[in-house]
Amino acid sequence: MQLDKLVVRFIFSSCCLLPSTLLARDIVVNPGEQIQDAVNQAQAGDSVRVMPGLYQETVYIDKDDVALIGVIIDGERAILDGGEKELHDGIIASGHGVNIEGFHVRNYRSNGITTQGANNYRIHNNIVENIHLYGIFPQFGKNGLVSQNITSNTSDAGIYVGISENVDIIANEAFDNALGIEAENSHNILIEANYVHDNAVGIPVVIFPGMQTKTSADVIVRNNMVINNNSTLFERSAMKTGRGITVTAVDRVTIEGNIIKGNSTCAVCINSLSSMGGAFPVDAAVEPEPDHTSITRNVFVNNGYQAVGLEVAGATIKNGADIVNLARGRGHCAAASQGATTLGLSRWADCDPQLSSAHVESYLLAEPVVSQALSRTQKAQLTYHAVCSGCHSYDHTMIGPPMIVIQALYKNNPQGLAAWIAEPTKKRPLEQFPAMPPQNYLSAELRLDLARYILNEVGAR
Amino acid sequence: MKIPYQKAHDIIRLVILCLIGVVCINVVAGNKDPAIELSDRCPPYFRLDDQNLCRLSTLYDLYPLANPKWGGYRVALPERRDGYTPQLIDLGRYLFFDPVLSADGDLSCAHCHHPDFGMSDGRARSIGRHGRGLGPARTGGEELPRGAPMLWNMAFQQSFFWDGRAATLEEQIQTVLETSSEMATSPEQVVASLNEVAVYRRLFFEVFGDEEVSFSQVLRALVAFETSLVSLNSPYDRYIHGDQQAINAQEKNGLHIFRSFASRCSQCHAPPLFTSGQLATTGIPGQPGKPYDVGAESVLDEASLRGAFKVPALRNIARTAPFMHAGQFASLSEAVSFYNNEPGHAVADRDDLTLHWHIVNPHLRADEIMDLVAFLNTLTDEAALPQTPEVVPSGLRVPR
Repeated sequence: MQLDKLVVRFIFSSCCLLPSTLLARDIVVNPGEQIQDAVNQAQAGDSVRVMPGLYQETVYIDKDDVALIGVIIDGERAILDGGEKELHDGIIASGHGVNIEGFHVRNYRSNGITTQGANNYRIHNNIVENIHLYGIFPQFGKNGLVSQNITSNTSDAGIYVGISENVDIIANEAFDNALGIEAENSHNILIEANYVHDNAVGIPVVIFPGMQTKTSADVIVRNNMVINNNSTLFERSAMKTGRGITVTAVDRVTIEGNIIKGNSTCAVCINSLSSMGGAFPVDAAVEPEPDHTSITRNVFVNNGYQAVGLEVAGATIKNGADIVNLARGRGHCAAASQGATTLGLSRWADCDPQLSSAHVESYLLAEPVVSQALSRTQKAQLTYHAVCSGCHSYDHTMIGPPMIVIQALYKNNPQGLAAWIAEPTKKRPLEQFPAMPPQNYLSAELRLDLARYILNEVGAR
Repeated sequence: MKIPYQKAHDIIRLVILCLIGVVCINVVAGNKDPAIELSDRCPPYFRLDDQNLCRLSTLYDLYPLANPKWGGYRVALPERRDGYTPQLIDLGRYLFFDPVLSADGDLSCAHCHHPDFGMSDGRARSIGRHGRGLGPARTGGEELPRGAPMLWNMAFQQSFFWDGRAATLEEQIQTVLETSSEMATSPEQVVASLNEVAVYRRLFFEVFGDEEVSFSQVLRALVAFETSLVSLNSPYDRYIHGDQQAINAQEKNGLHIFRSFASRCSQCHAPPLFTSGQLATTGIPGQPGKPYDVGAESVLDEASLRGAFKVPALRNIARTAPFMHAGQFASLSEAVSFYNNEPGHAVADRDDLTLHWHIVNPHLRADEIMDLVAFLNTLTDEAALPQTPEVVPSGLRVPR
């Protein structure tokens, strides 16, 4: 296992582009204080360190490169508690490069920890339990690490990676959930060295139709312990229980080196979208069959002894098997040397003994996902047109006064204009021009560059 | 030199005839304002590049480049259509407001997509051919089966119409022109009408360099104009870019509910565009006394898409009541409350519909619904609303 190396790589790749981390601060939160107040103060590179105790709030991180750390002392953690599921989410992050670790998150109505649209994230060493939907839910993101978390008692997935790319899910424990660890409509996902037990379905890998992405491929499920996933705790999954690993219409899924034991329907079930019944509308852009599944070097013990909700061509099957195939597709293989019991694998090949996913150590990127490279001048020009031009023209009055007037007011004074942009004060009667909103979200450097651009470039051509 | 009386009379007659002729030509051609000139400036949020092309500028272009189709918050936008000259965009604006495009000369694009009504018309269902007036007060004429979608951020869209039946804006525009209950015209008639207007011939010549107007040029100008209507600079956007005060505590709570997986709004109305661009069956009720609108089912001949419509973008949504494809809900509060109920509750034949898997009852409290509505009100940015022209080249009546 390469976890330490991955963590080091993550930290290095996040920080090397951020000079501001040189000035990084620790902001400490004690019980009785609001974590959100500290997050609001935090700037890129800062760490919010939350001391052990009980906190009842939703913490949201809509800014980049902030670490939210639950400090663990003598086994005591900072507990984020949603009350009687009054609050929706424990932690929401939309900023890139966030690091969320060390918390105990419980009793939320929606998700425990969720990222939406965040890249370069790390969710590490959290305990997440009794959540109405997903325990840990990174979505719409690229280059993330979900490691050494413990998730339990969620009525949907303990860990759910949706519509994402390049995510490693390493060394987590997921138990007593409807679904253990789910990867949906995603690419380049590594699910490795997790202990996934006592869920209804251990590790589902799936594509749903009608979503923004129409393909899902390259998922490695490797070296996990997938044990006794026979839970009927949650009604919605009780009829599909007993499944260790499922693949639904995703291509190039590698299932390798796992111990899969005691799952009553199957160790591995392979499905097409059509074998899912009529739950989803037909999406012509989504190919409904999985292709190129490979199942090799796994240990299968005592799976498929009592199938639940297993149907083939409308007929209920009483006994499952280690590997059950309900799909078509092409290019599948299962290594005969595993000695697995099988159902529906007559067209599958034996895997090449040399076949291995070892060349993929991690799907994390060597460098973080970055923005397009723009010079300071280009950024100022872009910002002028993206923001200022909505209300200001060069030489005629729109919502705000013309820039030619501003240029005269602030001649040779870009600092003055930059300061005013951050905190506009009313200069003209409100009935003449509405108040300008403060543009303090632009960095000080960008505001000064913008002021120079306005004074020197606007109208110059 | 003395001009003989007869000759003077002839000259006067000639001058009068000429004057009458000019007036006649002008009236026939509708050329009331030969002074119409095309703007050499890009619309708000566009930068004029070295090639005299308008390029959209947005702060979202400063964010990391992952997969822009996913959506998210501090994320890059998907590919957009831009790169038109200011003159072409402005020509498109005149065409957009000019009833000359319709068979009867009384219906322009702006009759159903008007700046005074958030680029829609404030109606549950739009009125097409033979209607009179504008907005909710429009009467008579042919009522269409659905409402007019607003036209913000078309530059990013991949399918058009409520049922997604057009793959391009050009196809969408041509369909409206040719539909008998709407503009009721044809490409040939559009071209003939425009070629009769001297001002249009001059403006098209200025933009395209051709003596005669062609239909593809008409479409290109309308596309250039419609894709210039961009709204990405609302209080919500300022919050996402880092102004923590840009939205208030109630609106922030609304944002959290919006992106919570209990309510799942952001799953289909994915920011920054607030649409996934996908088709979804949500179980919107039909309209009393009218056949059930099957939406995309009839377009794709796919029963599992019965009642499916394109997920509408929510930018400037507070400006375009009533809501849904046929104005089923009068207010945002009603629209949000519809989703706070058991899936399929509003349709008679629930079993005929394959409801989208994100349609679940989130069991929101009344205060949470108010917070959500407050949040939806932060998505308003109409800085790029187009100017309604004082006159249009045809001289026909400008909708206002």
